[in-house]
Amino acid sequence: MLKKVCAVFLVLCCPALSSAGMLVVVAESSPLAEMDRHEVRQLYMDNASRFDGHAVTVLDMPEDSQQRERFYQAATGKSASQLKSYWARMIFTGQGMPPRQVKSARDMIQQIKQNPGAVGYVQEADIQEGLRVLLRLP
Amino acid sequence: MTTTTRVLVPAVLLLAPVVQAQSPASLEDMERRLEQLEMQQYGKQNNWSDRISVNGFMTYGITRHDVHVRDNSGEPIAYIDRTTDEISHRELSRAGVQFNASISDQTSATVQVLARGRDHYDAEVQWAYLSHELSPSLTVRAGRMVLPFFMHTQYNNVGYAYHWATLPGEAYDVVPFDTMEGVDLSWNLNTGPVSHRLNVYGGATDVPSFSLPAPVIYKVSDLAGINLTSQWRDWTSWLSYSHAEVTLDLTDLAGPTGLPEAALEAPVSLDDAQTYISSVGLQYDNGALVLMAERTQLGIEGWFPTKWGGYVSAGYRFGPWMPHVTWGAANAHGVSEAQSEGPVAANFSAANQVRSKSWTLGLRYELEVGVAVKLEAQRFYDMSNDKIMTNGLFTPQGSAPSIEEEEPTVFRLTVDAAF
Repeated sequence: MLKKVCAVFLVLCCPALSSAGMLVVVAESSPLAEMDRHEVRQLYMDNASRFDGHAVTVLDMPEDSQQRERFYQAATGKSASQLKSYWARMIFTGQGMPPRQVKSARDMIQQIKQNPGAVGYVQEADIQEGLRVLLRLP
Repeated sequence: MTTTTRVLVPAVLLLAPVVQAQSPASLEDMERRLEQLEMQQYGKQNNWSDRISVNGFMTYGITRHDVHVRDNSGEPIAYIDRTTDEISHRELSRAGVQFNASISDQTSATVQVLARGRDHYDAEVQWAYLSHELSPSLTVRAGRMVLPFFMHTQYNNVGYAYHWATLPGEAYDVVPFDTMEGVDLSWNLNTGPVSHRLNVYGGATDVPSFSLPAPVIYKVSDLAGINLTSQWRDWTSWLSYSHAEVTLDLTDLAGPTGLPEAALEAPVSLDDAQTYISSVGLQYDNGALVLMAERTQLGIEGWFPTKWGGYVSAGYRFGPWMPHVTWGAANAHGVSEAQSEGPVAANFSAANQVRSKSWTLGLRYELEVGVAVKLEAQRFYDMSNDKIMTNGLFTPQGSAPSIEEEEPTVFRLTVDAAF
């Protein structure tokens, strides 16, 4: 309980901390070891089903989420509109579908914890036990 | 509020302390239960939404040009057969919807229906194929597909996918190819930091044409092609080559032209004429600066002129605004060679020639994610030389006076959405 109070206090008092970098995360039990920015970009832009010989499920935040905007800006340099345009090209030519969108940051964490193949991202303030960081995006 | 709810809510409120007293649940327990409930709910939605997806796009657009000259029969001069000096709300407007259903983890079915204002919104199936994943990087599709001749052809109806109001006419409107029935195979591979998509396909199609005295149909058989999209950081390159055999029976033109049928037989009519279509393109997009260039070419053995088109485009994003500029050009050669096939072939060759250059200035504004407003003006010049006498992509000379001195400009305003 004390930890939670401290966490809430930190988030409220240090907005800079909560808007710091985004972390690319997997479950602790995931076979994935590390990833660089280029690989993260390729994973998300391809919605790849395999990485480094392992089956993966790429998870994304909802389209209107600020965390999503920050993640893509850091990983790919693209805005939400540019991504929409990119996926319009992919969807309507049958070349691919975008990553599955979760409902919230909480949902993202739950799904990653329950699926060793899932790859997702959280903001630094949301990191918790059961998650392992593959890459920190500034 | 229903009667049942009215009764239940106070009952639950009254019983809550009792329940709590009998089984005191810790905050952690409650959180875990909430998580389980959320997961169950997600699982139910997931089953359905993972299997079927529906996506759509639409464009509302207005367009007109500024040449107030009439053709030889008193009709307005037309840009690409349809746009005139009066505002058209239909020419650019269209809507499409795509359904995708997963049959298994590897197999899916996709149908995309398109309704164009210029076709009176008669719905037409543009894509209808079964797709099967042979391996995570190899996919085969069979059915109806839009031909992948040029860099942007497969999504040419999805206006939101590109920065122009319409794709550059010199490259994309010279050849009216659309869909094919056939099979394609796509292979995604990486060479170091470069990712590639290699696509090969085969099929057949019919292409209607209106450039001769009466509508004719080019029957395209043994169509086979290969294209490669390569991506490295902010760069994307495109290479494509397709080959086909084209048959064109022109004997039906005997009536409209007053020529004897014998004069319209081969070599004027084409019989399995060897045909190639090629394209090379390059794109750069670093999130702010966009650069694009492409060159396309079409050659048909016989009297048909060899045509090429191309463009170079640059744009820069300032927040939601993106001003852009494009230079386009198209040209044809082989018209004099067609004279060796006789005067009729030479005439038909002349009717299919093209020469045009243009500057396009445009502005794209992102109203919100998924909706863009675009404004564009395209000014044409250099439509004739000592060998080619055309009006560019407007009603040709012969049917209309020369309009080059008018400095024709086409204006477009569109609202494009993808959802």
